[in-house]
Amino acid sequence: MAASSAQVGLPRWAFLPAVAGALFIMLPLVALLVRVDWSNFVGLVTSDSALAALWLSLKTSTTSTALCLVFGVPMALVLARTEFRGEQALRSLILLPLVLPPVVGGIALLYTFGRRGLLGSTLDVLGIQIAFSTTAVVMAQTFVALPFLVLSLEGAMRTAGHRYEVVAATLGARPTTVFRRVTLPLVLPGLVSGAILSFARSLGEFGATITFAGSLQGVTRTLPLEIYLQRETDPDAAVALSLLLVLVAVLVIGLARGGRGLG
Amino acid sequence: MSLELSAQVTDREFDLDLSVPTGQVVALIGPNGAGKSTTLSVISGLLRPDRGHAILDGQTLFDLKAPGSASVWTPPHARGVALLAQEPLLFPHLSALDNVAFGPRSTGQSKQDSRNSGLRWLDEVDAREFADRKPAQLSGGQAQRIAVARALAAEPSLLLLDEPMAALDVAVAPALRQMLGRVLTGRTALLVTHDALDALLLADRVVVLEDGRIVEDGATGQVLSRPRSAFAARIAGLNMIRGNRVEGGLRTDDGVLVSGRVDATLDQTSSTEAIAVFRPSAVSIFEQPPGGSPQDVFDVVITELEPQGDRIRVRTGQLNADVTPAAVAQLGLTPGQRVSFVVKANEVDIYPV
Repeated sequence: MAASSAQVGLPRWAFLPAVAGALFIMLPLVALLVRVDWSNFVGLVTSDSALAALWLSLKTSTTSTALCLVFGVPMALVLARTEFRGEQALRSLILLPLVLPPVVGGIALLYTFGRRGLLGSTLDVLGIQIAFSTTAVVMAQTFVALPFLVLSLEGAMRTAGHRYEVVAATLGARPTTVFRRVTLPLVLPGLVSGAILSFARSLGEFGATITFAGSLQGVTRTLPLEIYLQRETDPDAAVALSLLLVLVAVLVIGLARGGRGLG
Repeated sequence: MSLELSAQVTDREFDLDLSVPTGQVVALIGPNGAGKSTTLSVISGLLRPDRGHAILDGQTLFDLKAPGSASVWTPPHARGVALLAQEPLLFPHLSALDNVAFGPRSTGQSKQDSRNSGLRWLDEVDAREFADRKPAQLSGGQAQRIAVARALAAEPSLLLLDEPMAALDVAVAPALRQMLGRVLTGRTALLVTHDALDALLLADRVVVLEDGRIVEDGATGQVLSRPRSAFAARIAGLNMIRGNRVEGGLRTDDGVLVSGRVDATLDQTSSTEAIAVFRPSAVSIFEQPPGGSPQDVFDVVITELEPQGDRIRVRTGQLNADVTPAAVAQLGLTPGQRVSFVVKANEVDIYPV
């Protein structure tokens, strides 16, 4: 490939900023590696509070990824396969959490589902309290991660086109059968990378979580929150846990690449 | 039991009434944009006409009346209408066999039964050896064969074929045409084509569409040997001239007299118009028309020269002539030149409109 493809020359000046940018991203990771207290590493990442935070993070991120699939797949299907008035505006609104500061998302969730929120009193009557619970963590994560799945899957569906679906329908397949046997298999790579991106976004969620769910050990204190707290009292633990999250992130990017790119 | 169709699509100026008896294969021909694809889309349920109704084997496909009154709309999957397109469009993630078994499986057959009928239909198109291959491992001709098997395996009441040979290599089209001829026998089918050979070998009847309307409809042999529309004449490779009946032939609006073999039916009809057709290869080209045997002479201006097998096709506005390269060289023919096309009267067929 490298030898066979003829290339137009690159401007020489492009290399310097390109290398500087790459260093800017990689250097902090190196700094982290250098700073790690390797002799106590295992002890630091297996402390009670660290394990509780890791377990809570994995549990809530998995749940919110599942919720993203449950809601995001039908959302992508409707956006990709139907035309209606205001579709463009609706798509922009749905993708808003991508660009919104997470802490703003947390405030918005609080004033929707919190005790004094839009639905709070109704939920209160039903005996349901969401804010500052594990449920709130999952909701905060789903809120910020859902657009990743919708965006990635809708793109995959538009690229796949609907010609195979037309053929399937004329062969007698009902819409649900067409979706299950034709649409989903064709967009599977997009679905997998969308789900992985959602999981990664959920795992790293901080701002919306701390605003809407607070920081209770074992209940709402996920790994990013634990790192933020430890930074004050035990910097070595914070660094060790940070490295743990970096490893998980590297793993996720590897999986997403395996599932055909980042969408 | 048959197809009865009447449909109007206002913004495409499409207004069609068509009925196809069971077991008949109808070739739909016409210029681009004439409404051939619209016809297939309307019947298969991919396009909702503004008004009209369609009944297939007693089942109402749609019945759309004026706005406000009750209408019937059967979704595509429940119509019993299978569509075979130019491209095979085999599902890329399924093996050839699973592609063919898709229809039976989707309409409720068990996995085993649908695979069995898949194998039976693969046999029918001589493609059983490809059963386990993925579409990416098949050639264009093989894939289209399997697409035919897949469409037939759904056991449609009506099969729609949209130029099924158009995307194939010239080398493999004959084999597929022959196979289609075999499996289409006795089926009800609509075949969109641009090819006289497809119509001759596959269709019992030819319907010519122009501007969203039927302009000609008849038995295949009749339409191709005695076309009544300009498009059918072009597909049949014939020169066609219209004019008013006169003794022994017809006279065009430009006053040219065309004599020829006059069909006996011309005297039995009340029509004052007649059509004359002749083959481009029956035309000789002269700078000055010679006298002699009874002949028709047309003064024309050459617009184009192009190769046509071992002949050169000389095009003018309305007529074509196929002559030898030697004749072209001898006369020094070039576009823009004024010449005479001469046809012996006994090469010209004249019949009523």
